[in-house]
Amino acid sequence: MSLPLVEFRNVSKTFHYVRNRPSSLKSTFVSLANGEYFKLQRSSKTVLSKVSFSINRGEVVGVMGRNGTGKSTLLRILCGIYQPDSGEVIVRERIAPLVALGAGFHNELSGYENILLNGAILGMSRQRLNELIPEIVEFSELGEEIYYPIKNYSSGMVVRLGFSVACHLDAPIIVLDEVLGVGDEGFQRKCMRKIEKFFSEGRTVIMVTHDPQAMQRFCKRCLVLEQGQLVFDGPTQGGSRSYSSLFGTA
Amino acid sequence: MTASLSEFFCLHRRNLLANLVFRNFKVKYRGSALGYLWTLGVPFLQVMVFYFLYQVILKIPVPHYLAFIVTGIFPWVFFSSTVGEGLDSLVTGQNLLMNLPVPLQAFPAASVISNFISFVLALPILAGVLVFSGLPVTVHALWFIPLSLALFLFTYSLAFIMACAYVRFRDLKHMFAIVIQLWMYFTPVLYSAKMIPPQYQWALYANPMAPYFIAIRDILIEGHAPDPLMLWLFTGWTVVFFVIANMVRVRSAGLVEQL
Repeated sequence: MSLPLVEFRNVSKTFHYVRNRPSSLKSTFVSLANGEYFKLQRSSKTVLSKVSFSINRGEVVGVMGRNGTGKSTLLRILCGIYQPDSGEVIVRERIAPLVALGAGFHNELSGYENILLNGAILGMSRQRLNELIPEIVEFSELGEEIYYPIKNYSSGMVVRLGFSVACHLDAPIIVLDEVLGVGDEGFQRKCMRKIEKFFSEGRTVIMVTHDPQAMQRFCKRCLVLEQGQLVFDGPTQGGSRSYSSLFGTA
Repeated sequence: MTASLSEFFCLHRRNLLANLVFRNFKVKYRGSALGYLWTLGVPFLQVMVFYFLYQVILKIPVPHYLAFIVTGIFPWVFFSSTVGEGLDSLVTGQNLLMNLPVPLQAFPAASVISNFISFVLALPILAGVLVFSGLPVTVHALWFIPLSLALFLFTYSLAFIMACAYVRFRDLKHMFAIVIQLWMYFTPVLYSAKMIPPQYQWALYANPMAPYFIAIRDILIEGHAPDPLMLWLFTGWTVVFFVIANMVRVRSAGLVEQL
């Protein structure tokens, strides 16, 4: 039995807020001088509290939960964007983050140049990128428009390009955040096929979705978060029920 | 130590860095037929304006004034535009930083590298002006290389500190625009340090950028060895800012959450 690819051990994350905290140097000085700075209301929100789970190679795990219950924070900690306050996160393989598609695209650059830039941001090597480029361009279905600046693209085209780059990463772990609704119907089907291909290749997939049907279809296992706590970890059937019960539906 | 150093310069993600530098150039010169010539545009125009003002109108008593201000303005433009661009590089890149695991120092590092490339590309002009002015090029001119590397390090450190501070204090950009103007006039960029009255000479020691310009004129205009005191001062300031930048970097892990 090999070690799990992803392990969360008692991971907690709290965000601290200061109400009306001065956001400029000038106002900070003023409020320090008149003492108001020390009377500012401080509050904190625990977004994750003692979350533990582990994911084995080849598993497809869905993460569900209401808005603001820590799903995105969980993914960000998983990807190494945020640091946990306490607990331990172990990730034993590389991650392909299919989140916020097209983040880092530059409007002035062409689709083609953005593929190179985005690939580098996602950590692809130059050789690998050169090999993959024809495939990425083909997948995006942008044709000649790939050579035009993306400021001329429709929003659908931008997301399509983003998905095309990210889904060609050959990392063993795939993180998907609500990206099942990319582009028009034809392209959505294509994305589905691509994602199903990840499963058949035995890659480990962690996905956040609000769509119970997609969850039933893809995931055998489901995690449900409620107010920063992991309230369910088990087969998707029970997870969907647990998720629905959060909304008080019968 | 070496690992953390290469991380500080983002060398562990070289492909990313190269692409960001490339992007900076592409975006800056997109659609401009003159391309590379524009990298010379800003310093060139500044030289013209200041030459006219100080030499033709005010008749400043500095010999070889054209060579003098070119050796001043080229490094100053590198310094000020890097810190200015580096300052909002994190805030501009926030969409990326919040969604993908990208080391945040990649952005200020890309700013300093792309500006340094522009600076290096402008050096043939600087050399041409020196020769044209009939100044003897001596072996001491080789000091230009270590001095430029120190300037690179100093500039990057300051740009990194400012980029992190700007995340928290959003009025820094407006303040910086004014401060950088004042800073230039307090630094012997357009005038010689010797012209400063004796009772104000101490200000040169308090200004991290002053020793650089004094040393650069020693080697390029006067053609003698640089004042060791100035070399030590600039090295000292560079080390101080480098250490501060590294202290900031160690604490910068949580900065992404505040973007």
